[in-house]
Amino acid sequence: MSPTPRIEPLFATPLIVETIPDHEVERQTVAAVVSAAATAGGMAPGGSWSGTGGIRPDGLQKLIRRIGDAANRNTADIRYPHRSIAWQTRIGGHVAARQGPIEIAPSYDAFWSTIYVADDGYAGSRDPGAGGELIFHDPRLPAPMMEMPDLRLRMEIGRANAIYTPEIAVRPATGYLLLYPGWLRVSMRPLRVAGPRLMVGVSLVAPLDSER
Amino acid sequence: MPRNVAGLFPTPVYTIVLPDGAALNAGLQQVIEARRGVEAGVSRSNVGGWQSDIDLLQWGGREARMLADHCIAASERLTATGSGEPAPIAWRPEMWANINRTGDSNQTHWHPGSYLSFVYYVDDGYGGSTDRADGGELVFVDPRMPFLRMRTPDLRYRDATGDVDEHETWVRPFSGLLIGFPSFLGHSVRPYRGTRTRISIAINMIARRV
Repeated sequence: MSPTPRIEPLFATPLIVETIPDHEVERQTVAAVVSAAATAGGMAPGGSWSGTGGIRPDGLQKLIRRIGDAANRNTADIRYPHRSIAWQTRIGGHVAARQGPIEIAPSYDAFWSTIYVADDGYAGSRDPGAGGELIFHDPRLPAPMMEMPDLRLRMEIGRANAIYTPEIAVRPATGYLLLYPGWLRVSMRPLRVAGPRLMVGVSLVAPLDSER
Repeated sequence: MPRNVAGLFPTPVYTIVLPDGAALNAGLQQVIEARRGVEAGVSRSNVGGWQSDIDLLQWGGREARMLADHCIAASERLTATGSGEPAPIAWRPEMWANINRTGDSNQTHWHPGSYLSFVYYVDDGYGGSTDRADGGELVFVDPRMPFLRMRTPDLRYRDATGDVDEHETWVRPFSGLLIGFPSFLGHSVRPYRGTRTRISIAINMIARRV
């Protein structure tokens, strides 16, 4: 009998999930902005709205500081290891009501993209059919699926369900802060509950090498 | 603040140390060196060295068949259907031999048309030396290149242990090692600088539905 292979997982893409313990100020700020957008006609009833207008960064300074700290913890500058990175931030809002899809546009120039979940929209429900999962798409596609799409590599030996999937679904929770590379494609499944789902996206753009 | 760092979509590389490697290697070395005397070889990714055609199974004898059986068994264990069940696949190995001497290398390449690829080291050529200057490492290239580095080449993502990501992984092989990887993974061989002859076998595993 052949020996058991040892598996070395190489070249993984980071996804950092932090839970913010005290984020009431941020949550209220986002809720107020959404309310204002709805009043101004920026969000159709039962629909969704996405954009940068209306969310005032001055109400979210604490959140932006948290995000910057999280980015610094998870980033290494191999050229200037003792310098802090002068992140430039872009901020936008995502709101979804029932059935509302959200387009989460990639930030191709951002080293990190982040999503802060101000309200998951589940109202405490644990129903797995509530939808609204965030979907992370394999950046190596289509290569892993081209040769034989219904054949998958095992990622662990001995765990039957530890097989490759081209998408990873994360069910978000209120207070989650998710960080991932700006080039990673992310989408959201339609919400099957009333919601609304409130999220803020913050992109962290590092200066070009020539600007540092 | 509670924190969880996950590594999504890793590219798996599989290592197997064959228990019957020593028994295989003597026979494989003999038949490969004999073949080199009668076959001019082909030129593909190899820079220097001798590479046989992909028909090693036809002339490699019992030991080549045993190596192919190891690769088939590994391919069966390392793959599944989308629901995690054993996959109804007939694996067809294509195998070729490589003989490298000092200065020989392989350019970065892929193995299109194959699902899994393996390399087996009949003789690493190091002769017990641990001198890094002997070179000859198998190099895997991150399939997310070049966009991983294009905008900010000096910035690195940290993993759960705090280590920074590297866009290449170098493996110093040893005799008896069977190493497998998805065929879409780019790889190369650093120039081999040892004084002895290195012999390896490459195997492409072609998947066909039963």
